[in-house]
Amino acid sequence: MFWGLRGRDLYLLVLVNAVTNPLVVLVHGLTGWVVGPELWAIGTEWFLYRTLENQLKRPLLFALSVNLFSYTVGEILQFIIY
Amino acid sequence: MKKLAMLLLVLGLVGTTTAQADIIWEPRQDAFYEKHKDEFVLEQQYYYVNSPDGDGDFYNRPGGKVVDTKENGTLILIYYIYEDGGGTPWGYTMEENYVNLSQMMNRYDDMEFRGDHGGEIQETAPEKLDVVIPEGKSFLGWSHPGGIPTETEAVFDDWDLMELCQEFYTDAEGRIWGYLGYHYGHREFWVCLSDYNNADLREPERYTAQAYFGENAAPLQDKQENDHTNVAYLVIPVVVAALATGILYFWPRRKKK
Repeated sequence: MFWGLRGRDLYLLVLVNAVTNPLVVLVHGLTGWVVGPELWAIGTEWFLYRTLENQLKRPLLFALSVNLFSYTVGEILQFIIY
Repeated sequence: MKKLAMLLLVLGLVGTTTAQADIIWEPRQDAFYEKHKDEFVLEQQYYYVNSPDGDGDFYNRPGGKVVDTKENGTLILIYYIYEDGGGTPWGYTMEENYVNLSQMMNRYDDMEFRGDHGGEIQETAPEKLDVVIPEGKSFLGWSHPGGIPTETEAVFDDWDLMELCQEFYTDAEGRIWGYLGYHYGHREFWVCLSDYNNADLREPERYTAQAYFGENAAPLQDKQENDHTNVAYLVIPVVVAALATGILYFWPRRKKK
């Protein structure tokens, strides 16, 4: 929302993350890898935003920010829980 | 003067040994341990890996990332036990990793033996035996009568085992066993006073629960159910990702302005 996303853009955001997030979590769970799956997610999300949402400004920076935010929140939550 | 020097040397060595035996190990680099230190309970017991899956997983922190996997039957010293918020007990090993205790089985040792035979253990010997181990000679110390033997050496002087033992037990074959609480750094072991160097006295190992390893392994009845869980763990993320991809394939594109 801080990127100016509304309505249809938010559905797209959810769907794009539904493509990448389960696979990143799965690969991380099986192998313990972090950087590789995250880079793949950023690349895939960038491609999807660029292809499907031509009004989104700087899709690469957006994908990078969203994933960095998600990773950081995940780490903080893990630290709090454990 | 020479005798005094020897006495001081011996006292110094005994003091060192005692101090070493009482040292409590703590991990050097474990942020989780540091944060929850007060909730860790000292255990210092050997456990077997005993998972229905055939292998036990070891984590970097309770419920965290798997950092090691060990085959069923591997003996592990659980140094501390930590109970998480959900009431799950986790064993903490000297490799600084954590294992869910439901995947482990406590080794049958002196504690369990006393539970089974407490009423038969006496503080006085049923008969006097002459069991003196000369200095430098070895004998077998046992985890419990008929349990796991360890070669033990008499140090500093001749050991009169009959005098040193504080408790006695007579087994079904009439052999007398003595229990030593502590002597020159050796702690809590049994010795067979009737036959102090006979490794053949070892009996088939007893287990404190169903064992999923060894000759008499229990059938891996939970394995199939566990496999279903594993399949779901793999299939659900793939299905979700595939569905989302399918929807995105038909996603209406905006016309460029």
